Amino acid sequence: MAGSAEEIQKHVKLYWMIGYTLFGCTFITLALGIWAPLDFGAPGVSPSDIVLGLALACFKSSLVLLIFMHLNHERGLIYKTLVFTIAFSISLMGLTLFAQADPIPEHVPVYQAVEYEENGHGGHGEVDGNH
Amino acid sequence: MSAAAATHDEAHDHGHDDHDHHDPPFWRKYIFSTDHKMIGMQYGITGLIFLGIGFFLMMIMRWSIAYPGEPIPVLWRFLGEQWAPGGVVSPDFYNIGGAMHGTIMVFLGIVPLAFGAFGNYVTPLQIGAPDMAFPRLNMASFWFYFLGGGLMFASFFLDSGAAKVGWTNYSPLATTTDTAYTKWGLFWTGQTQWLMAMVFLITSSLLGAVNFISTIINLRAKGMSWMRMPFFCWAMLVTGFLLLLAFPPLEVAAIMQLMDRVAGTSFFLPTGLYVGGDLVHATGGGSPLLYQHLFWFLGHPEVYVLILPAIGIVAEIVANNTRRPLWGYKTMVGAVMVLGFLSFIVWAHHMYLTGMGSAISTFFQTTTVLISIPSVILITSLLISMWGGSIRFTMPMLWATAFIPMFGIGGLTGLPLAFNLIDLHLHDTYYVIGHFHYVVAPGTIFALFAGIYYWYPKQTGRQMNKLLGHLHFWPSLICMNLIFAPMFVQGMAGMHRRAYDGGAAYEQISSQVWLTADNPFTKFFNFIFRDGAYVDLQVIDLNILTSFGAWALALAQVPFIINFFSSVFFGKKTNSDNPWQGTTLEWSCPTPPPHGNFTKEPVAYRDPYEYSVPGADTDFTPQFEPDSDEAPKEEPEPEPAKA
Amino acid sequence: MQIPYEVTPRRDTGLFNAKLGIWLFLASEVMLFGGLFSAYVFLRAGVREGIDIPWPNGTDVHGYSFASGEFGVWIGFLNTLVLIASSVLVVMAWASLKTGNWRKFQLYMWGVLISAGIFMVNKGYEYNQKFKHFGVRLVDGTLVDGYLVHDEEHGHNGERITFNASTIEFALSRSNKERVSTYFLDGRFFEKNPDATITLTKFKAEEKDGKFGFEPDGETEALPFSEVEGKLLEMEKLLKNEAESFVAAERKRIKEEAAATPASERAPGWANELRKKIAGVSPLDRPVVTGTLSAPIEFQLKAKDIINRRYQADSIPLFGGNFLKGELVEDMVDLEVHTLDFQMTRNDQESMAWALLGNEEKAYRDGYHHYHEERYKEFSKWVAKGGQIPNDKLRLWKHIHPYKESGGEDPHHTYPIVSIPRDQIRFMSNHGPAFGPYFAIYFTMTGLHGLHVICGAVVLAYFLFFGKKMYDSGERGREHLANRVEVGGLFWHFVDLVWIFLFPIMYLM
Repeated sequence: MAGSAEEIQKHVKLYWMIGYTLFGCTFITLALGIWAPLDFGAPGVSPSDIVLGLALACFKSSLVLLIFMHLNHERGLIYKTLVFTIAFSISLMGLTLFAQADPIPEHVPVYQAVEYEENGHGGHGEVDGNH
Repeated sequence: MSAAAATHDEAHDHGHDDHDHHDPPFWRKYIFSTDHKMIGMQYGITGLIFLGIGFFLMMIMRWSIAYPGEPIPVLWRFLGEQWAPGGVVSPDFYNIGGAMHGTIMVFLGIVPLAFGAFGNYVTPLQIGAPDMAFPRLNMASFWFYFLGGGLMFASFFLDSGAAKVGWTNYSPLATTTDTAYTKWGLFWTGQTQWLMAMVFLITSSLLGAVNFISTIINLRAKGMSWMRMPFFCWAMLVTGFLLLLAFPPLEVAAIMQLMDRVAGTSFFLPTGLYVGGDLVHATGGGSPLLYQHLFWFLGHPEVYVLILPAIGIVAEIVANNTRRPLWGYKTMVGAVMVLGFLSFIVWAHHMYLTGMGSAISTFFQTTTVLISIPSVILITSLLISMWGGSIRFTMPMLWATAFIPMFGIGGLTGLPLAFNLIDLHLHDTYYVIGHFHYVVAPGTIFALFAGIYYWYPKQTGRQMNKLLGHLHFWPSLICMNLIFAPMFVQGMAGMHRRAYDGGAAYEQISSQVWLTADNPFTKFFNFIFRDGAYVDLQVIDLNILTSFGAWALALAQVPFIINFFSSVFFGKKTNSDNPWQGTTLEWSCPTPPPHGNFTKEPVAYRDPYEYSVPGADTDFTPQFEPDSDEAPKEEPEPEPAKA
Repeated sequence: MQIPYEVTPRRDTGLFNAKLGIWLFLASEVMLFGGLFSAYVFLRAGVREGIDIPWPNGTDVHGYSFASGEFGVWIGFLNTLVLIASSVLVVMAWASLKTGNWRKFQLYMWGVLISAGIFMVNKGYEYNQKFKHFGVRLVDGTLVDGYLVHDEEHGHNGERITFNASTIEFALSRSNKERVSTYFLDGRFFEKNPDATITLTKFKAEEKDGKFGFEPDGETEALPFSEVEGKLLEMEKLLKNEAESFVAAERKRIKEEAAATPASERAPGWANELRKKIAGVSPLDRPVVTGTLSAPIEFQLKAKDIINRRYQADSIPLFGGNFLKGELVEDMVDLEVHTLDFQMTRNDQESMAWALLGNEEKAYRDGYHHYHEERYKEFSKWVAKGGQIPNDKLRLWKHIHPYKESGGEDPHHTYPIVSIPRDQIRFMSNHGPAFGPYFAIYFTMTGLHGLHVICGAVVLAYFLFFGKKMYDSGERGREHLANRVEVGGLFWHFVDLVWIFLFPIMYLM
């Protein structure tokens, strides 16, 4: 951002405003964590607190990105780079979690066939207790 | 204001010229140089040396595989009683060899050669830049690499030996190996130093990647619009992004493993882990799979880091030697970007065996198969470029021509591995080794040789010797196939890739008969290797064939080494800045290019591969040749989407 | 030669080189911290209840009550404010440069550096608090948490391992050289017994069943400790030489024998057979040198001296393959107990911790109930409104049992000290990175972030202290310096940005 001196003078005020906003948001974040009256879910940390806290963090970081880091003045190139970066880091987090959440099931329904065996010694040690 | 600024910069250009006439001192010129060409050559020489070391380790391993339990000739003296008790390569040293062969070849050999050496030397010349965007960063990048490489090499001489749990360094094995040391002793083990060296190498790659991308985006010469950029530069751009975005997760993994080893954390140690009958003193609660995810998030893009520069080099050489424009240049550019993008979301096909469910498997199978499309587009474009061209089989062209089918074999044998069902059988067998090595050994390394033969005259002003070149090329081609083709057979028979005795212990698998005794090939084999005995050819016997292929390949490199050094003094002089009659900008600058590269401001007047233009005087119309009809474009076109 | 676009932006990209470079670098940093955050989520989501140790709540780990002395959340909060302030300051510093005000630039930049200093000091305090805290997990899963009792008089660090050694076994290996000196000659073990001597067994080499071996030859020699290392080295060298000459001679013999067979009589595979025979010649394993002490010596050890913490009542393996043989006299960990945590205990009423507490047990059980009442009060309003207490809260509430709630005017005097025998301990560590996956990722991420803070501060300090020359070198230089500060500032903002996420994730969740 190659702004002139006057332009920058105008921005200075904005920078302070953003600073105050960030301070304010930090207070709210803290209150979400430890102040009972601001518990939207259950007391203590609950899912709704987490969502709100992260949303606040996202809001704060987008302020930093746009104003302090002048992204609002940049051209497409940096946006494209960042969009791909964010996409890849989301895929890193998302796909690893996906893989964690989708294991091969431990109880494969093959043991159902065992029930037809006459002497019933289908020794699948891990099947459910009713076997 | 910007226009004024541009001229302002140029004014500085001229203002600075007269400062540059005095030569920098020796150590600034050859050691701590900031000139991209010198750094490129530093990368190249260091990379070649490491390539040699990696190859040497592999030859030792091949002895252990082919002749398990027999003392290794000559070399046992160097290995000593610790690594070769009684002269026999110990399993521990075999493991060190395996881990370090992979590490050295990938991170210290090929990436520095392909990306560091050729990228550094050629890219700024091709886009018409005076140097890289950040010359001092460039120097730092090399020295970080050197430090990392040196550390990696030095780790061989530690008490514990170098890293020994495979180049992938999977936890928990990597975390719990060599723990019979004190806390500081634990730090000075090969396994820990591997991680330290990796952190240096990753830093080097990151600095390099930032530098390359900035250079290509910001320092293109006048008229060098995106679609006038030689394909090699496109390949380097995408490679840069792959390194930039894929390496950090590996750095995370390395840091975490380092913490596991040194600070006693259990990022990758599951609860209740027993090692050697003892409960490991750690809290557990970590996940070995996390390491694999982080590692392969780099691991797969890394394969394209190895391959894309190679394809870039081959594309340059094919266009130059078929004397026709590259067929489907824009499609190739598109393909390389799609390839870059997709390579980030295929990694878990290395992990089918870890118990992933069907949904996630399906996802990764789909993306993996998808990624073959751009790869095939690239290879097909190269083939069609050759179709009907009047091909000059110069030395670089020979290598480039061989690259295409070799890479093709590597690529096509990878397709079965993309499918979960087949991969469960082939995982960790010699098949995978064969597949991967076809891609990088006769694939990338051939392209690197092509590049060396191609750009050698630019730096030295002399051609490399043709006879020695042929003596290098043909044996290399034959030996490469001798080494890697049998691995497909062994792999499909189920032979595991990490057995130090070459699979002798798993007799049921390794004694399967591949060819019966009356087969002519068997007879031939027995005549040469087994005193003419009349016995069947079992899959394990192929180990001997492969090993002899490997040792012969080593001999085949001797002509190259002689050629590489002697041609500096005795090679045929080129007497021209453009010996191959190429069209791209690097052929317009003096030989060798001076500091700052171009004597006059380089301008790209046309597309990169204007060969055999109808009506032109010669069969090549260089990018840098002014054309009276067409004024250079003042402003480069707006940039397209990047990968 | 001048590289273009060092100061002025290129027209089509709108960027000067360094700005493009730093954005690309930040992209890789996003991937770096993205990887770490992924690891955090992966590890936290992967906790298996009842198998892995539970993931603690950041608020519980750090604490926010000044009365109890644990107020890490407030430190984190303060650090967030400090970093935000420094972010504003750095952008103001850049704006001052742009408007040509060097004094103001200096002022703001000093502000940034002071902020960075405050941040790091806070961080150091916070780390230090955690490193002092200690936890012992008993074999039944109960976590006994508190502080190690330091015994200045006897030089104990909360651990008492006393071993009465009568003999020491030394491994004769190349890698053992330094270890022998570290363990036995640095005075830690032997300073109390300067007159004691040690008798080493001697070995002679001999051939046995076609193999080469070492046999004790019964000859012994009493040595002062200072000579042990030299003697061991000497023996090692001697054995190595003898083994090598034996192997060489044996191989030579086999080769000569084989060469005697005429070429015509050689069977197929003759060469392979020969190779195998040659390979078969190898010395037996290195012997162990036993050193008998003139009188038993009492060793004060630390758990980390002992390989894999694997020791028996009569033998202790030390690093380098050396063993102490004798008798384990005592093996205890002294801990001032602050909290009991039964989350991993199958039955908290029958936990081993109660027995350890002895006389204090009743007070503790009272505190247990008191604590639960307090917690219930906290939740009662919510429950009255018809809300559900989340499962993880219930579990925590039921099992964590802080002693400090048990009443008494001065709770610090009432913390009991327990001595925990080693065989009842499954794992012990301070609240450092080793204390569990939460602590591991907490220290890794905040540590890495701290490194970024330091690096950023160094770069910005460079501009502050060495930028004046560039600033005074004219229009272009001034612009160049402003660009540099902008680039440094971009990095600094990124560091702030990471902390904006780290604070809620590490301290509040």
